[in-house]
Amino acid sequence: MRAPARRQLTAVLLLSMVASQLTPSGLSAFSFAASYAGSASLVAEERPADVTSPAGLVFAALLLGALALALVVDRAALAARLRSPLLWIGLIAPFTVLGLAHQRLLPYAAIILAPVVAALLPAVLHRPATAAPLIRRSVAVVAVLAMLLVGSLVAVAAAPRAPDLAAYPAAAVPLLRDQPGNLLNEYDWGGYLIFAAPEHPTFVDGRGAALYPASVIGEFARAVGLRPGYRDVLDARGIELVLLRPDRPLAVALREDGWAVLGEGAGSWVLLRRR
Amino acid sequence: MSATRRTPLVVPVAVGGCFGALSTRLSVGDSDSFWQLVTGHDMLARGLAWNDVYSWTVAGKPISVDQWLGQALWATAFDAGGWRGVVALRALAIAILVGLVLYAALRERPGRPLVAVLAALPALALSRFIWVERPELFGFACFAALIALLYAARAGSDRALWWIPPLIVVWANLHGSFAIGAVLAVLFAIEGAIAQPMRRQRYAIVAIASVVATFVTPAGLGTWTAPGFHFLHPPREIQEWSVPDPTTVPGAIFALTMCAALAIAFIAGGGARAAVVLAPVLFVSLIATRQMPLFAIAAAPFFAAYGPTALKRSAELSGLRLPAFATGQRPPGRRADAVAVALTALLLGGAAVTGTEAPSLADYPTAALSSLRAGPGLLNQYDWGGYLIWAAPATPVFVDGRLTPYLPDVLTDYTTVIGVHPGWREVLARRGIRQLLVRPADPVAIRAHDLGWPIRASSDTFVLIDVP
Repeated sequence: MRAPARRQLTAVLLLSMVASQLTPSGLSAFSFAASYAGSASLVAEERPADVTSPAGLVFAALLLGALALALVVDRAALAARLRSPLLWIGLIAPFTVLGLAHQRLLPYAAIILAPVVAALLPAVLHRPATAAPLIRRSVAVVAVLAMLLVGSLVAVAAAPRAPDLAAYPAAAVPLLRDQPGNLLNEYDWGGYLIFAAPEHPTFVDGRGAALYPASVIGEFARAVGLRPGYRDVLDARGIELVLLRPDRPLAVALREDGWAVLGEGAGSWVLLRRR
Repeated sequence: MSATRRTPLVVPVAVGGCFGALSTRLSVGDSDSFWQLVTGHDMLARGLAWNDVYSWTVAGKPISVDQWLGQALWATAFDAGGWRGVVALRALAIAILVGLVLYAALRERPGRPLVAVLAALPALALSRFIWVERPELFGFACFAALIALLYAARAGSDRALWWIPPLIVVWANLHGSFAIGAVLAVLFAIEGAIAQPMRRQRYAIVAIASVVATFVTPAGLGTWTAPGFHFLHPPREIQEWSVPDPTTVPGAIFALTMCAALAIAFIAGGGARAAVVLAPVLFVSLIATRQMPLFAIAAAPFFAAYGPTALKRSAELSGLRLPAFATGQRPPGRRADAVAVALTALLLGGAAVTGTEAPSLADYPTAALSSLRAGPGLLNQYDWGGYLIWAAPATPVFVDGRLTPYLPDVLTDYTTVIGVHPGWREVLARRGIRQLLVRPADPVAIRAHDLGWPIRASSDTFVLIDVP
């Protein structure tokens, strides 16, 4: 690599590192990321990727495609089409591992793998490398404006006017409003409850390990899973209300123990109150 | 990068022997090994059992016989030497597995045993997690043998090519993992036929024979049922069928192996031969934790063949200078091979005689056995089903590690009760469950304690509860 290019890239690297600190959190952002990466999550999207799922299959196809193409393509063609194999492998490897560890990060891996597959596939098929089609600027402007207009019309006509609350216990919110006492809520519904029932502070919510200590998340898992000491959690936290999915062992046990059913949605939620 | 000279056996045999000998110091008594031993023992005494006789939930229903040969081997080892016999057979299988992985790597670099050992390291590290006294271990050894044969065949050995179908016949009778072998053999044959038109007919015969070989089992066409089911519907509730997790130790080793393969592929290539092996095996390994070692085993010869080239090119691109390593000028001869085999046999024999002599039962409910009621009506922890088949034959199990006979109804009822999900008491009544043998931390044990159900026996490991 030539010296000017090296200096330029080093400067960009340093500036990028500085830029990553220009947030209210500063260096703490890294500790948030570390806590996410290092803790077993209760959230499905933060669990390891399953390549038998639809999203996992797409990721696997790109990963296997990139591996197979890199193996098959002639070295000179690979160097010509990817410019720097070391750079690409430096990007693919960490993002692939991150995607496998936390499935919500799979798109990052796919974003990196897709151009690799797109660059190498034509080489295997002995097709020339493609270049961007030449379009006159006036034609391009008209086309872009037309697309913007159509997109805007479609958005105005068909875009949703309200959030889809089918996955949330929306019908429980009015029932909850009049009930005093501490609430033990389903993890996935915490964020919605902060929005819809602000008078009831949540036990836990999607801020997860970045906010809640591991002990609190452990208490939540112990209580809803009916694990040893679950009653101690309910008593120590002064839980008077429970809003959970009805198949949670805790919901089943509290119903049997006579907690009052304030309301329930068919198979989706149940709101219980201590008598 | 194919070998043109004989691959010395000294290093694979010696390293395999050392690993096998070391394994005799490990505990024995995997949760599934118990029912495998009972099944094998009953088979040797009365012939193949096509219907279940160990549970009360699926009694008389058809069961899979796809591991009959593996079960017979374990049972024979036990009959010959008790648990020491099992440990000896496990050590031998591990020695063969490790030796084959190293052989395949060394075959790519016959004069560079250190490179071969380094290339095989990920496979050796990951294989530690499948050193179990189950037919599954034989399946991994067969896979390692197939990889060695495929690479040798592609390098021009017709003898290796013709050995593939017989290997798959044996494999299909040992363990359900034969399916990946058959698919791999077909893909490899297609690639070989394209790359080597002169040998097209031979590749075609081997591909067809490899598929046909999978049906040369007592189950015939049914041999594919269990592998097909597990491939399409991995039972995630079973730990070893969970998704590979790079934040665990085996998951991290697997992730590193995958990254190394990607790096070498991008820097040094590998050709279509490597692609038809590595890509499908990587997919299979990504499906479940228990399959992660497959990729490391398949990658070992690739690492040996292309790893040094990738390292050299990386150093050049980075402006670094690597030290030059000497190549062995005089590889060991056949006499050295024979001495290594003899010494390894002695080592394995000595290690087996002085190795583990009894299973570790600390995680099993041994103290509950005397309190168990005979006859149907027990709901047992899934992980203890195999042990109970072995240790409490008068009390048939609710569920055990055979898994497939219990899908979907019995396993659903099991998870409903054990996890105290809606309808758990209805399941107790409908199934006629009279006693629960579960872990103290299981939700059903907590709930039974809340409800004041009588506890007949308990320890830190188990609790035996009467259902009122």
